[in-house]
Amino acid sequence: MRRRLFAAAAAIHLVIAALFSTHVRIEDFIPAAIERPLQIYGGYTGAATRFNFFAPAVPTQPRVQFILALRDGSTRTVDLLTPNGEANQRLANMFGLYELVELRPVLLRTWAVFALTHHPEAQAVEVHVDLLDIPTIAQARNGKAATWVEAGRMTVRRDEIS
Amino acid sequence: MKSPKRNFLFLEAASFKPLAIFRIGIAAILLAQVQVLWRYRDLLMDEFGPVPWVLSDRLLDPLLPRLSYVTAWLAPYGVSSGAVVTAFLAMHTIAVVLLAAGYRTRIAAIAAWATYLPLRYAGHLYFYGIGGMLLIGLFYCMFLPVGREWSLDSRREIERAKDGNEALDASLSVAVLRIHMCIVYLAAGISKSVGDQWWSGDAIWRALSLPRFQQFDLSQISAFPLVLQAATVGAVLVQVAYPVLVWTPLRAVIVLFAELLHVAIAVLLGLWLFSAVMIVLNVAAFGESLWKAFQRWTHAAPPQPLPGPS
Repeated sequence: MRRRLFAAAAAIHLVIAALFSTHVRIEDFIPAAIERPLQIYGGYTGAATRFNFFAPAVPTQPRVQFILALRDGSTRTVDLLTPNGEANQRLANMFGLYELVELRPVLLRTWAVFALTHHPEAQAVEVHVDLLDIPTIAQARNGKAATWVEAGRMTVRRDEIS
Repeated sequence: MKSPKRNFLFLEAASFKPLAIFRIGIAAILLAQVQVLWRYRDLLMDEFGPVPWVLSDRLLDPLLPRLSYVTAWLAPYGVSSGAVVTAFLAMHTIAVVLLAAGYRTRIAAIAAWATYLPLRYAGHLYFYGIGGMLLIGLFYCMFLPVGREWSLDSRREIERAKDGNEALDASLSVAVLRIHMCIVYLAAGISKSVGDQWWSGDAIWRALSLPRFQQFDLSQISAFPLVLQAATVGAVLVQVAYPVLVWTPLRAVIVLFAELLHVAIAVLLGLWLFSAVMIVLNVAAFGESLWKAFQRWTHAAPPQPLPGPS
């Protein structure tokens, strides 16, 4: 009996995992009254995990730089890169949020505030975001190189956040 | 009387060793992750990090656990959010160490899961695919008999089944892992197969071009488009074929290809922890079966010598 219950529970769990597994947003096809409990269940169990790694396309990557304006009038450019590859992967994942266009103004300001908080010597900061324009294989064979293309910038003064 | 096919699916695993590998592997990767989260908690976990909780929480369902709730409850007692993060990382570490050792395994797994959830959702924007895979692993650690081999519990016989029918539990548990792995690969394969980049070779070219993944300068590889195309098409085929071939005599071949794929992802793209999770899951799901096949192959009777001239 215990094994049958286990098998039945496992089968239901695996069906839910399969429903949420691909790049297709299954939540767009099921009623909200069912979708939300399933999402919450998946949030606690991992059953709502999508396995569309690098799919259907490999996105580009934002580069975020902070140009600090110091008291003496000079500037200094910093970024958030660490010596640890795993930490950098996670930061890059967070910066990938910039691909959501509607969030860009909020993100620029949020990152500026973070930079000013961590660099008390700065009077102002200009957040500069570029996206990497990657040529196709055919374009690369013809000599085109990957280039950073500006995708946003914002300047925030310290007196604006205090 | 069960059919041979059903036996093949459910009654093949003869021991709990695959589940012990699963437990120890997941715990080891969680510990490696905790080390990164601890060292860079100001960047990856902090309430006022690059994306503060007040913003990242808005992207979550309110019913999911999060550290901001705990911080709000403890704020009247003068406990800061930094102290909450530190405490959860410490509790999670202790739980994962106990899980790895197999001491009070089920309780340790529940504690590791309960502490992992708020940590994951506090920094959910920083967790790439590994966040979900580790959650899946921890969830199964709570319910599957992962502590019956290579554990302190097994020495004390705390969790050993009394009914003497352990083989079925091991087989059923491993079958769940196998089916979940098939879902993972089928979904990954289907999702890739609908993208043009995966048929032209551009997907791997783009991944190798992104600074976040660059381990070596492979910019000259664009001179070999057929190599890139073979690699992308091969990756799609391995992932789509995996859920079919693992139930056939070609199981060893397809699992080996899948493992090679993850080794390549680790070496070429630097995704070591993610690749490690996938390798551990494959070993737990199919390792024992492959080991038996290897033993049968190495202990096979030597071919009979041809009769010599009389």
